[in-house]
Order: sequence, then structure tokens, then C-alpha cells
Amino acid sequence: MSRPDHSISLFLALVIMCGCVESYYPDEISSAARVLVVEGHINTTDNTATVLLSYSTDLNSTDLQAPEEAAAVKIEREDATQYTLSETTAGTYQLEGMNFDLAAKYRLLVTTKEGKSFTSDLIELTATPPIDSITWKAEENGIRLYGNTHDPEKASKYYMWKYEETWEHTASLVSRYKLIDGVVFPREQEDMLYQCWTSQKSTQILVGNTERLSSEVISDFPLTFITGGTIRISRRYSIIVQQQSLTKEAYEFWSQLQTLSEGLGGLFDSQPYQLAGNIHSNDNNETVLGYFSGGATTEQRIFINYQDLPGYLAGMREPAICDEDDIQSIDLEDLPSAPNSLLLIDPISSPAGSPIIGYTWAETYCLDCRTQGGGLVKPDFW
Amino acid sequence: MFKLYRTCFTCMLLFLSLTIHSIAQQSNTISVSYNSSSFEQVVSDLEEKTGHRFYYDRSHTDSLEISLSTQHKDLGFVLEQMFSGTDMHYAIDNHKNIFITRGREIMSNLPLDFFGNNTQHKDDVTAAFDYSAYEKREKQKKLVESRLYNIGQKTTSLLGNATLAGNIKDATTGEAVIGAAVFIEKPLIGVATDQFGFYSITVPKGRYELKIKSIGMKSTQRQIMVYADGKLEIELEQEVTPLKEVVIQSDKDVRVMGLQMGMERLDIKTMKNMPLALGETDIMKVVLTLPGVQTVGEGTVGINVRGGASNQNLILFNDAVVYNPSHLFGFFSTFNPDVLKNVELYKSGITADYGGRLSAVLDVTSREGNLKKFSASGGLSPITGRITVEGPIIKERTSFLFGARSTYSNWIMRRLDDERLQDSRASFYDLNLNISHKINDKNNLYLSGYMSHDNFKLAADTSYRYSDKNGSIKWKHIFNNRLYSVLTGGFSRYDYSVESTANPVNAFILTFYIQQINGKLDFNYYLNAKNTITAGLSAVRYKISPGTFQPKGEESLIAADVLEHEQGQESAVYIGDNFEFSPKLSVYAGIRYSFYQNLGPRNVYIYPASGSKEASNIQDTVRYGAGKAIATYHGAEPRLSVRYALTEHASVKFSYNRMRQYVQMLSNTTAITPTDIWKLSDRYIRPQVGDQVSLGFYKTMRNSTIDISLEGYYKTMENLVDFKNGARLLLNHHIETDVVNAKGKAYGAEFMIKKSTGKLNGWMSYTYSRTFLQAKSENSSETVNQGKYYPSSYDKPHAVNLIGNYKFSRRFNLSINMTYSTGRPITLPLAQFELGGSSRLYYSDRNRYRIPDYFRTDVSINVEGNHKVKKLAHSSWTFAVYNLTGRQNAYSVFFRSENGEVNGYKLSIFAQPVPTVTYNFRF
Repeated sequence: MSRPDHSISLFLALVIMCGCVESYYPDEISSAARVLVVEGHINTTDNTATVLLSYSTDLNSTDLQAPEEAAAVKIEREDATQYTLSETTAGTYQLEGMNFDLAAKYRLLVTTKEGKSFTSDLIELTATPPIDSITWKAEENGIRLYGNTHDPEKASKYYMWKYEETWEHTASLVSRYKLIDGVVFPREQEDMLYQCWTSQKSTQILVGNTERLSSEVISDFPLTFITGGTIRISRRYSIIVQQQSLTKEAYEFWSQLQTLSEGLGGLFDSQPYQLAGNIHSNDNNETVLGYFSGGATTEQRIFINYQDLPGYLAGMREPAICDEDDIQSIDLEDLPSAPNSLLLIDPISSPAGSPIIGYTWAETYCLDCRTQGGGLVKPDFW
Repeated sequence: MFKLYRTCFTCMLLFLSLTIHSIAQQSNTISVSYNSSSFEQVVSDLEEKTGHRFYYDRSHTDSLEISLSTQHKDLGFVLEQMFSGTDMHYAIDNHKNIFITRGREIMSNLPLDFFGNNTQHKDDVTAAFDYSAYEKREKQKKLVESRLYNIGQKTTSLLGNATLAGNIKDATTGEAVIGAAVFIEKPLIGVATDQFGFYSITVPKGRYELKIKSIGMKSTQRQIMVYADGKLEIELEQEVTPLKEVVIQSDKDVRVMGLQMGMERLDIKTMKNMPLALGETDIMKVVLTLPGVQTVGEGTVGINVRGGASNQNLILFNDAVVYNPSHLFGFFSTFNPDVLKNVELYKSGITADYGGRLSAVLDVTSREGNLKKFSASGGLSPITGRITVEGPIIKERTSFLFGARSTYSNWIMRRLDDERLQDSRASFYDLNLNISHKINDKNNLYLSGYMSHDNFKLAADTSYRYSDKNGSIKWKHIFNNRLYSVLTGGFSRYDYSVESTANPVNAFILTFYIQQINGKLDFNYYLNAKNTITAGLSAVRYKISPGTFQPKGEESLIAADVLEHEQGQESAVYIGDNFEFSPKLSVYAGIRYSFYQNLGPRNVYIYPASGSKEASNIQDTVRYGAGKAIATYHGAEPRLSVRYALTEHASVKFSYNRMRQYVQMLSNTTAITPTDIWKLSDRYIRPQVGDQVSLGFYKTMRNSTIDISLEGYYKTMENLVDFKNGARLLLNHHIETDVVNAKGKAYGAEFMIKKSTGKLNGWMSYTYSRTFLQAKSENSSETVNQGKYYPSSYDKPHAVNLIGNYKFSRRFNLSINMTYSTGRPITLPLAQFELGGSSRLYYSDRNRYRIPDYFRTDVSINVEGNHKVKKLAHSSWTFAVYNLTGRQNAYSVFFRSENGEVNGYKLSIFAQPVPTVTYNFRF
């Protein structure tokens, strides 16, 4: 007999070896449900209100864009004062330069161009404490970023975070010359293709609470994870985290939406269900999805340099996409017929000091960093 | 008396008279005259007269009465006369020694030239042959079977009835044999032994052949002459090879002739022959192969019987309630196969002595320790090691049985490189201890203790621990042959804790427990041959700690949150009568009346009479003091079973029962999780009430080797608990705001064909069953699927099971298990939409779709060591493959939003064939 508290994992090994998760789409799902989705938010920090209107799409559909255009969108204060939002891009309605009253309650009124009207519950606007710090810790395979905050007013118990990451990355090789209609020009600093910056917004729902704590402190809330050796942390990385206090109702909504869309797949899942938000149909029981909330937003940005990483993570660099073997050459006489998209690296002169007989070049993905995302413009904050 | 012997030993007599003559060779003549003399008197007289010396076993001769008168006959003639009509034999050697034996004659002289020379040893007295042990047993058995047992004081009047009672035991271990059929054929009167192996049968006075049949045991019979009430203890022998049979009913005749319907009994031998996952015999998995029993997925221990939820099953282990019979999140049940004796599952026709759960009763009984000798057994499978030790404390009176099982493959884990595994831990153990003590013929004491413990942590910083403990003590007192009582006291407790210490600021420990103390007094009265009355009373005291959330460590900022304890008391009285109107018609009618109170101290929130129960609607809080009744519920639970025999081999049965349940598990996950909470009925959560009618047809064919049964049922259930969307159950101070009151209906038909004996045996069943829930309220938040009936999570309309066992030889058999069922209902997304920077899912009505159908085939080969009786240790190997075809059966289908887009997945648990080898030993 072994001691009772022995751990086993052969079992786990069995389950993990045998158990499998595979991609699966049931045939039955082909419903043409078309439901209005409202995502409304009042930002009291920059005094804007933004409402996104769209329709749900088929599960198999690749086109996720189904905006509701030309709708009438208004925000109504509890004293019945109304403010109309105007459509800036398809399905996006905005209002700027407003002075929202943190003590007042607001509701959202939407009338679609088909004439269906929807109203939200009256919402309270929340004050948001500042972010104390954004920190990171090295783990075995990368680094994890954490958010910390506390509310000296002891008013905020529920939080939601959003973030936008930006990282600097480069192409494998440097293109120093460009070709315009068969003529070679050296590249100026402003049209170099070597260095890029890519930005990405968070796609996960990040919500946390201090409901069960004796003090209103959020400590080390995990925000995101960066795998070591990836392009994100190949030179310099930055993240701006936006923090927003939520009402209890809003927290419940977002946290349930998070479970329903990101948290399923375990052995002990609860049944998924239709999640109702705080927007209702005025005319009949037509389903409407989404949420209307508002309050102040606080933010903080940090930078992480490649040099800051501990040695074992810095050593994890992914191999470059291209190296010297990918460099090819083109003779001078062939240049006039070459397309403008040909990216040149260096002139070839043989023997040394003699006139140029051609240029070296490589495929675009070796020379243009944009093929790995992002743009060539350095962001303001960089 | 001699007359009686003669009738039953005609054959033996013939044999006797042929052989004895050659031995009787002495020629001194004597004259004797005996009139009802005892054998001893005769012996001393003959020894005096002839100078011979008698050797005999007094116990063989004490019932002999000799009346004989002869003149000048030789001793051989006298002896022959004396023993004629008995199974006694005599032999006389050359030294004037007379050997009296019973059952088998002996030779007093060796055959000529036995030792190779005919000079030596001629004069030696050679006693009996060395019978082989087997022959000896067979002989003994024949003897007890043919001997006539006189029951009661001899009288001349054979008017009226008399009651014969006693215990049926296993001859090898001294253990009680449960559910053995004890019957006479003309007229057909039969009873089954109870959980103590006790039987009581009332028959008209007279001469009978009493037959005893039981699973896994050799059938036997006793010749009885019933004069008055009396006792008869019977020992049964085990079948020589345990591989022979797959039997799921105690007796072939019981299924048709017994009153009980909707009940399946499985004994451990049957279960051990079945191919199973991970090399462990698991009763919960075996039960799943029976018609009418479903599960939501293969990784869960919860069973759904005839459309009932898994917490509606009363799971009893030696009469103590088991709240969570699962190890390793449900991949194993906590019942150690080595200590089990049998399992009874009641799906319908539940008698009045059971109560407290709506759907079914799973009564698990462990063995008693061996009363005669010490023995140990155990086994090794890929997951566990287990050992069982048993033996007498006081020989023939007190015995113990101790079983322990634990995970042992810790070292394997360290050899795995997978990070997920290095961070994960999972361990469990379970312990069993049984002590049974026979105080005297009329009083027996049984003690049983059980404990299971689990601990796991899966690649996360949160660790879980849960434990189920129970104990029971039973005192059985026999007043007389017709009346006995059992007093039972029991204690059960289930608790768990969840702990996280990764971030010291948020470190917490969450604990939960439910415990109950119960007492019960049952009487069993065999009124007469046609009536058996059972009656009793019981009381259960519940206590639940619904959740205690506390900081762990100095740095933790967690605010303690302690939910108030819940208390409740459930009492019941019952009476039932098993009445046989005629050989064709038997009826069981019973009634149970249960009374329940939810008790203080506790705060109760008050909501407006109309409108939904929401936290925001709380109007008031009422404080109930200790012992004050917060809510009181009571009601009658009638039970009825009727059997009508169409022919000797076919019957129809009908049953109706009503059940009430006052404690329920709240779980809004599909599978049972270790951290589900239990809740007592209170002001808002009313007791569940279920009614079931069922009708069945039973037939045996081909000389009772093939059984066919067809059962149909219809069930309604009131006050079921279902959950609002997004319900939060843990640490909820007002759980009534998150649950909805639902009602349910279930119906179905179960067909089963079974062959219990022969080289090829097994069963096949087909079940059609539906189960629906309905949650309807004036408040939309308390309504599910617009108030329409929707299938419950375990609604699986079609299920087919095939269990086959082929015995190639005594040492080698092959088993196959095939299972098909419709996929369980799930809720699937209908569309996707953009919200919060990513694609989200828009879900259908609850349980509108199904996961793909389930199909699995398992095989196993059992190889036994040789069957020599006198081996130090007996061992066997089981080679099994679970999911032979490697079908990737869906456990669940789910969708996730990942990096902004929606992906659909199917999760399978045993997606490949899983081979296992198990080694079992016993010595």
C-alpha cells in the first residue's frame, strides 16, 4: 500500500493522451438569426459617447461586418434631455464635447432605419480610480503582465480593463535602394522599409472584482501573456491599459459574456445560455443584444525593452525569416524591365572599385517589415 | 423414523446390499432383542456378546433408534438389519474391530498384493480411503441434502402452519448470503433471504424438500419434516469457478415470480467480469449498462435513472448515505470492488422502507469478513493499488474486513515531461472497515465505516480536496422465528475545500459540508405464509454549512464570508404488507409518511408576494431562533406493487410509488462536480415530489435460461430545481433568487433479454426514454424556454447495451460490452456578433440541440491461475481494451471566441483505445 496522499498522473497522462479536442461544427446550425447588437459607452474622461450598432451574422460567415446604418441614436438624461449622436463611420455613432454629469443617470434610445426602437435601462456613471501600476513577471516561456489598482474612495468594486499593445519589429534584411521605373534611387530615412510598429487591441474580456476582499485592492490581475522569442518582444514592446469601473450589473454582464464566449471547454462547464443585456425592445419581445454603460476611464502605459528580459527569454529568439541565402542579384541591363516593387539591397561592383554591374535584391517578405503587420510610422508615444 | 430413511435411500440401499455381503464374514451367532434402544445401548450389548469393539462417530448415530429382534443370527446379519434404511455402513476386520461409517463404506482389508508383496502388513488395520477434498465436500453435501431434518417438537398432529427460519451462509467464509431464494415447490411458497442472510418461511406442517438457490453459489436442498416452528441454518458452497456465470438476478425464478419489479441486483462476480476503463471494476459503470440508467458523459459518476437527476438517487453503503461516490472528478466511483458484495438498483416499485430521494435507490452492500480464516486479496491496475484483509476476531462469531485503495503511480508522474502534468496533482484513497459480531443466536451486531478522500490540482494554482465519510451500526434482534427488528444508527458527512495561495493577497480557502445523523428502527414480521409485514420509523437530522470563505495567510486581504448553517429534520413512519392472494396474485402495499422541518437559527429574506425573487426585491429579513421551524412539509408516500402470474413462466407486474425529497444538490453544470452544493428544502425551495407508475411483462424461456422483460413507466416530478441563466450558486446568501421551480415528466420503455447460464451468457437491452422539464412563471426571469417543456440534460431517447461473456475454459473467458446511445442535449450558438472587441455567441434555447451519438465497444480477457484449491495465492490477470474502435465520442461540443474569432470544438475523453492490464491476487 502506498501512502494515501500520493499523487498520480498516469491517469492524467491517459486523459491527455487519449482525450482530444478537435475542430467541430455541427451541421444543424444554419439559422438565419439576425439580431441587433448595441454596444454603447459614455466616456466621462474625454466627454464622448460612442455607440456601435451591428447585426449578428451566421456562424460560418466570414464577413463579420453587418453594421446598422442610418439609425437614430440618442442619449437621454433622466430629466429627459436628449442628445443625438451622429454616424461617423458605418454603424458607429458618436457624440463629442459633452459634459456628462456623474451624478445623473442616462439611457440610450435607438431607432433602426426599419423603425424598430430600443431603450436601455437607466445607467449610473462610475468614477474610476487611477491604475497603480502595470507590472510584468518572467515565467518559463515568456512574460505575464499584471494590473494593480486600489480605490481610496472605496467606491469601486468592479473593473474592466482594455488594452492596446504596440511593438517595434524589423524586416530580416535592409533594403537601401528602391526602383522607380527602372531607375535606382537610394532610400531616404522616411521611406525605409526596415522598421515597423504594430498595434493590437485586446480581444478578451478582462473583468475583475474586489467583492470578496476586505479592502478595495486589485493585486496582480493578469492582463496578457507574451511568449518569449516572438516578434512582439523582439525589440521594444509597449502596452497602454485602460481601466474602467463598472456597476455591479455591468460587471455581471461582462463576466458572464466572458464565461460564455471564452471560458467553455472544461469538464464541468455550465450550460451556455442567451445572455440578456440592459437594452430592451420597445415594441415587442424582439431580441436585442449588447450593453450600455458609462463612466470615467484611467490609463497607464509601460514599455518593455528586449534588453530588459532575463537571459533565458532573450535567448529564445525565433530564427529570422530570411538570411544571406535569400539574397539574389539582378544585372544592370535587366533593371529597366523590373517592376517597381522589386526591393534592392546593395549595388554589386566587380571587381572592387569598378562600376556597378547590378544590384542584390530579395523577396518582399525579407525586406518589408509590413509583411509582418503594422506600419512604418513611429507612433507619437514611442 | 426408519421408514423415512428408507424412502430417501432406496438407491443407497441397493448399493449397500451388494457390497456389504462380501465383507460380512464372521460366523458367531447371537440373539438380540431391542425395542427403541439407543445405538449406544446396542453397541455395549453387542460388544459384550461378541467381544468385538465398535468404532463410530457419536454424532452420526445419536438419532438412531433401534428395534430389532433376532435369534441365532451372525453379527453381520444383525448389523445389516440394524443399518438397513440408513446411510450407515459397517466393516469388520480380523481383529474384531467394527467400524461404523456414514455415507461411504470402507474396506477393512487391503486388496491383495497392494504393497507389491503379499506377506507384510496383512494384519494392519487400514482405515478409510483418503478422499480427495473435493470428493469429501461433495459427499458431505450429499449427506446434508439427503438427511431428513426434523423441525420443531415431534407431534402427531400436522394441522396448521409452522414457521421455519434461519440463516444462509457461505460455507467457505461464513458470510451471510443475501437474496438467496428459499422455497418449496408443492405448494409453491418461497422467500428470499434479507440483507443479513436471514430467511423465514411459513409452510403447512408436513414433509418437504426445501430448495435454496443463490447467485454464485451452488444450489442445494434440505429434506425437512416440519412439526412446529423451528430453526434451520444452511451453508451454501461457492461455485467452483467464479468465471462461470454472468448473473444479474439472484435467482432465475425471481424475475418472473418475485413481486419486485424495476429492480436489478448485481453481484461482484458479475461486475468483475465486465471490461472496464482503466482496469478498475467500478459498480457505477456497471450499473450504467442496465436499461433505464443513463449518464451525461463518460467522465462523470452521476447516474440518471429513468429521467431523474443524479442527486435524486439514494446511494446507500451499508445503510449509510453516500453524497459523492466519485474519485478523480468522477472517473471512478469510491466503492472498492474487493469489499463489495452486491448492488441493488431500484428503479420502480420502491418499498416503503426507502425514502428521501425521488428517482432510485442504489443499495450497495459490502461483504462481511471471513468468519473461519484469515485471508487477503488485492490488485494492481494502472491507477490504483488495493488490498483487503479479513478474518475472524473470534472464530465463528466476530469477523472483520478492512479494505484500502489508493493511487500508487506517483513515480510515473515524475517521469513525464509534460508541464501541465508537473504542475498537476491528483490523488485519492478510500478505506472500508466492517466488523460483524454474533452476540448469540438472537442478536447480531454490524459495524461499518467508510471514508473516501480526493485531492487535486490541475495545472492551476487552485487545489481541491473533498471527502466523504460515513459510518453505521446495526443491531439485529430476532424475537422469534417470525419477528425480528433491526436498529440502525448512521452518520454521513461530505465536505470539500478549495484553496488558492498563488497570490498571497488573494489567498483564500473555501469550505463546505453537509452531514446527517440518522436513526432507524425496522421490524419484519412474517405473519403467515401469505403475509409479511414490514414497519418502521426513521429520523434524519441534517446540517449544512453552505459555504465558508476565508483568507489564507497573513497577507491575504480576503474578507471572510460565512454563510449561515442550515438545519433540517426529516422523520418518517412506514408500514408495508406483502400479501399473496393466490399463487398467481401477490400484492405489496405500503405507505410511508414523512415529515420535514427546516429549522433555525437562520435569517430568512422576505420577497414581495408577487413579482420575482431578486436580490433587489428583498423587503425584510426575519430571524428564526434555534430550533424554530422555518418551513414545515409533510406528506404521504404510497407504494404499491402487484404481480400476476400468467403461467408458470410468465407474469405481469404493476407498481406505483410516490417519493418525496427534502434535500437536493444544486448544480448548474452538466456533469456533477466535486464542488456542487447541497441545499435543504426551505421556505422557497419546496420538497420535490415524484410519482411513478410502471407496468412490466416478464417471461422465462428454455428451461429458465433465457429471461425476457419489458417494462414501461411514466413519471411526473414536482418542485424540481432548475437555474436561471448565469445563476451563481456558490456563496450565495439568497440562493432562491438564482433558482427556478420546474416540473418534470419522464416516460419510457425498457426491453431486456438475458441469458444467465451456459458458455455464452450476457444480456442485451434497449431503452427508449424521454425526460422533460418545464419552468414557467409570471416573471420572465424565472421562465426557461418561454415556459415550454424542454429536454433535460440527460434526455437520451435511444440506448442499446450488449454485455456478452464467453467462457472458453474455466480459466479463460472473454467479455464484450457494447453501448450505444443518442447524444445528450446541449445548447448551441445560432449566430455570432461583435461585442467588446471580439466575436461573441448568440445561443439557442436551452437544450435545443444534441451532441453526436455515443458508441463504444470494450473487450476484456480474464485469465485465472490454475484452480488448485491448496495454492498459497490465487491470482488472475485481466487484459482489457476500453473503446476498442477508438471512436471519438463527444463529451461536449463548445464554442470559444479566440483572438477575435469564433471556433467550434468537440471534446472527447477516451478518444483512443485504452488498453489496461490488471493483476489480482488473493491468499
